[in-house]
Amino acid sequence: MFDSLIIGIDNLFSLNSILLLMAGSAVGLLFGAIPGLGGTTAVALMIPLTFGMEPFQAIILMGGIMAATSTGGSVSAILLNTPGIAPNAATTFDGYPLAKQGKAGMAIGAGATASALGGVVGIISLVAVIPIMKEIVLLFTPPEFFMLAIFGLCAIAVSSGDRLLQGLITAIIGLVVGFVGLYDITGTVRYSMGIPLLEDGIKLVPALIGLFAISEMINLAVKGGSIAEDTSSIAISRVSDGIKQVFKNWSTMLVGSGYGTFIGAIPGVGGTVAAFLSYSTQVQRDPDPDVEYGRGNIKGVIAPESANNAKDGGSLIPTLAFGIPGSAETAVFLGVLILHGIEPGQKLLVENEPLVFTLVVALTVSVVFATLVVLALAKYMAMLTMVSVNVLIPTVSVIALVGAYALHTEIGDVVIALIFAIIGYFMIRFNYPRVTFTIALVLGTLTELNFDQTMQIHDGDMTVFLTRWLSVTLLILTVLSLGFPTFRKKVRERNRRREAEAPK
Amino acid sequence: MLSRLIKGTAAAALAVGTSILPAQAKNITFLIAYGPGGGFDTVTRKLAPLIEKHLGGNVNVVPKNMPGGRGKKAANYLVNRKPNGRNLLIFNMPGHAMPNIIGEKADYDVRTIDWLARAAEFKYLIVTSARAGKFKTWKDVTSYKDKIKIPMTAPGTTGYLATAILMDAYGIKPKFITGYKSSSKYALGVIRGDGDLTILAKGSFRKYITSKKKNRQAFKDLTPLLEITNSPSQFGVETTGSLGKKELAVLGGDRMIGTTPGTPKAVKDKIANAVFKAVSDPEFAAWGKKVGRDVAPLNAQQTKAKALELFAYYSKFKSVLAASVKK
Repeated sequence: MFDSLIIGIDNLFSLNSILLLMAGSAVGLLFGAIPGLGGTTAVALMIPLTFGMEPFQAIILMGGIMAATSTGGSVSAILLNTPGIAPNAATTFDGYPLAKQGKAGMAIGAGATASALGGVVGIISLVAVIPIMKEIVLLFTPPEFFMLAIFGLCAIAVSSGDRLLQGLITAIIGLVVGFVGLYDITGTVRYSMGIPLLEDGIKLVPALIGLFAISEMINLAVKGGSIAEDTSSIAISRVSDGIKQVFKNWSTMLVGSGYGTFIGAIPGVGGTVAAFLSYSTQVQRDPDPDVEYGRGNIKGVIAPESANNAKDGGSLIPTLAFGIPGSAETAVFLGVLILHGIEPGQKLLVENEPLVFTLVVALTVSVVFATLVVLALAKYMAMLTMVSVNVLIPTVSVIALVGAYALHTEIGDVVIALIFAIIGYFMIRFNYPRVTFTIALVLGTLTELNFDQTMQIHDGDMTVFLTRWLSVTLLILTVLSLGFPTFRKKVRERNRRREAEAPK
Repeated sequence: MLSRLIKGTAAAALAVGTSILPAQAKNITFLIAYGPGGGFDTVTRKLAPLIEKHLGGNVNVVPKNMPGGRGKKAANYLVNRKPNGRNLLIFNMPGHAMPNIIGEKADYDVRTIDWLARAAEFKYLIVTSARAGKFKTWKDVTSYKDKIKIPMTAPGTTGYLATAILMDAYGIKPKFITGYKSSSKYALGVIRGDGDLTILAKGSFRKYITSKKKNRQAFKDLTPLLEITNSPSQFGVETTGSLGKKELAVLGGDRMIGTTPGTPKAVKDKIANAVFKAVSDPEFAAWGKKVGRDVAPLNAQQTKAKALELFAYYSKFKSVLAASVKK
């Protein structure tokens, strides 16, 4: 293993390899930051460039891209309320309010640092679990996936805050939207109203672009001014404040990284779910948030950003161990490996261990490199929040709509983005949370599909959820996560009452 | 001076424009009916530069993913283009033929596609989990009284249809556990014990079993039960042919390249020639061998005949297929 690591380092530290890694990181940052593009598109577009390369060079280029996209995506999530890629959606909840308060620099600093540390934790975990990959992947069957999705859906309750009814209404709309299109259990198309575009469902990225980015631009157009409500307070020091905040809130970062690695390793769940779970857990476990979540709490940036970068290492676990991609991005990466005659699976680990470690080293260096670039440019990026709406609205709207189109070069996706922009604007206008809508949209189909599969496998026996240890563990965690905030609130109220009653 | 500058600029623009236009017009879009990363994606991207090589000249063959409607979207798009040979698509047969057979709405008809060549084919075998499975032989399967659980992709997919036809031929009532996104995921489902057995392309299975460290792969738990062939088994198990079901040997998949119906003969012949040379190129064959894909080149005429033969074969099972899709 150590020899392979040395070969991996040696592969990376040549001029060609470093240039490839920097190019990959730059492309990853850019594609991550531009809403709608993302790492999957970047990796797919770069495939032809790898034809003439040695396999390790192709791996370095792709590793650079994959490690940097989430970091790039956090920038647009914070500055424009637009997740560059879907896993950055949870970052908008507190990142954008921070930008509006003139603390964009701090949010970017925290986001980038959490990304780097989360990424490194994910990669270390990847190396650590290589010997026990098989056991981890086989642990999750449909009942466990279902309970995991339910655990995630409980985030709706905590993310709604004092707007539970509105939260539930938007969650129901999110579920309904998620059910549109081809259902893999029955092979039938649902709720498409005969519109061919809807036959494959409403794609997440165009919907999120409309819901978050363009709706915000409509809101800005109505309000006027700039994103930052206090433009005087943006300063260079804010970036370092963000870095300090990550180290101050190290447990938030570690829990987020754990979520990212663990969920990344489960095929078919992905970074978006990891980021949401990390965010909602942080909201639930925070004993005393100094700032309410959803209104600019820095921990609300650290939690999802550490998770969505840690998932890169995690999602490579099933990719390398079984040839089963843990995410869309790794699915394309798998294609790159196959194209270069590298067969994923334990055979790869046995016969091509140095290549695996080349990837590990490339991911590590790239995630740190991307973070350094973002930190160096954060000050200038933060200035975007001070740009006048007359410049910002047309620029962001065009970039966002081009992003929606570029995803599948489908004009219908632009229409979807515009429809969701209007829905999103009315949600802002009437104070309905968009978070709950997004959680339901992401997790709704996962919940339904795994419930149906469980029922098919176990002949409709519902007790299966109570007879499998991991499923029961997840159920207990779900109950605890729902009950804990209420319990904590009661205890706090009782303590306050006692303090008030106590003789002075 | 100014007028000369304007004239000069206009002339330069015109020159640039005329030099670019023909090159752009020669671009060929190689459609991929599924998302990035899968088998169709990698085969298309491997073939694109080889077609460029054999076409010669200044032609770019540009792969473009157009996933949707289980491959129907790209096929519909192809047949609605101008018939000029500038759009190609690898069809998934028999999957692409299903809407035509069972009467589902589709703009295309696989019988009228202008076929250019076949790139690859695959055949199936039935596998179970050595650890979690309850069957040791195919006889155990056929004598089993309860419903056999089969993890599978959505109803209507190629693997689902082949399994439905096979089970129908043996009078077995299967219970499909559907919703898996790909064959590797439903194979993993069998290993985990989600179901009893499933169907796999022989190439995929071969990849799983040829590793030197057999005990270290989860997929090593897969073991074959029945091979769909009329030849002797490559895996030492019973075959559909040896069990007297010779007609089942057709079950499998063909990767056929077609273009828009009505393409002028001269254009079609030129492209078909280049595409056939590409699929017969030693580089493509070597790549196929390396990654476990069964490269099986056929020329335009042979491909057309094969498409019609497959259509006629699967049409015989129309009721089984229609029932599968309705489920």
